Amino acid sequence: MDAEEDGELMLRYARGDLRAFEKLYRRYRRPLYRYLSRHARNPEAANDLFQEVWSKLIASRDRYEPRAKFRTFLYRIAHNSFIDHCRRSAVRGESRCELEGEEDWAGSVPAPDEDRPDMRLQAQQTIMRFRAAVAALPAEQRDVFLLYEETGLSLEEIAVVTGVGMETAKSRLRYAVAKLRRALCPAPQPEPATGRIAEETGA
Amino acid sequence: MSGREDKDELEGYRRALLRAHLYTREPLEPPAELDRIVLRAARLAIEPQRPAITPAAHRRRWAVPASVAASVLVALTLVIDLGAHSLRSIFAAAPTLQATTGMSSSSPADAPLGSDVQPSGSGYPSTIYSRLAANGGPAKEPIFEVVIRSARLTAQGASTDARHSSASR
Repeated sequence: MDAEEDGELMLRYARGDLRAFEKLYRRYRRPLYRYLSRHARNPEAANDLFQEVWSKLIASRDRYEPRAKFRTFLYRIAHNSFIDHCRRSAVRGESRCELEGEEDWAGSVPAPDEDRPDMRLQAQQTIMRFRAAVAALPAEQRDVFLLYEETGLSLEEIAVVTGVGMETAKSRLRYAVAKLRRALCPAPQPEPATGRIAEETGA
Repeated sequence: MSGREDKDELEGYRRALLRAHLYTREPLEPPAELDRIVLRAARLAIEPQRPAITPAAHRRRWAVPASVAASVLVALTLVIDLGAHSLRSIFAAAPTLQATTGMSSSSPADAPLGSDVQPSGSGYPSTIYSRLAANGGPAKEPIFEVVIRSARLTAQGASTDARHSSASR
């Protein structure tokens, strides 16, 4: 995916080219929705946030400057929208906006491919534990983790989106992963690490 | 945290994710309805920038039919008015016709309303107008005037024909 091309598409849309927007939308609809869904963990809230983010993007099409990466621009809107959502929830007296609708998500988890009922149950339980662990993360760590996992942003881009320094973003990611690991794998097994997080966090 | 511990925790986390098929299998994507809403909003946002029908263009679209209708209306009015004027000119010659045919005028006040259209030829048309005017009727109505004059002229013509035929006998 070419960031330059994304920027060009956004400029074309600002000039009235709807096809350009449709291309952009097709590219980002899924990762953005996953990011917001993991954050909100309530289908209705995720849908509202998703619509809100795109509406803001549409409204700000004339202010977009190609020197800013499009996906950084998009996820910054999403990040800020989620913070606003949490504030609104707090005003309404909801103690933890990210925990609303937990049962809905649990019910929407599709069954894995394993045919064996015990394996299916185990996988389902792992998913539930993972979600609970993500939900239990501090908001900043969860945000960095979800941006990293769901949107594919680099740590540098995440730092821009969340408005913190690169080292801060990196540190948050490491803390988030450590907590998830403790929640999911109480007994660590000494095996070599491979993967994006290990490389980027310097492990 | 040491590098060894990092590797352990990251790998443990990764294995857990893979085992759950969390990121590879879960079809988590926006509903189709949401897609339609967003794309519709995107389309509506740029619609004013497209070359659409502006208010001026909308007015221009109605200008030609409106002009034609107005022209036809004016032309019809003129034709009717001129036609009525011509008829009035013709009827203005009615006293001359009366003189040549030797018809006499009786007192307008004595003539009944129906007598104006009778072939007796008694009375001038203004009789009925004046009486109608006295009753608050349409004494100055042009169409009414034209109709009455036309009927009267017809009656006078019939009366003249009858006299000529009796004289020839």
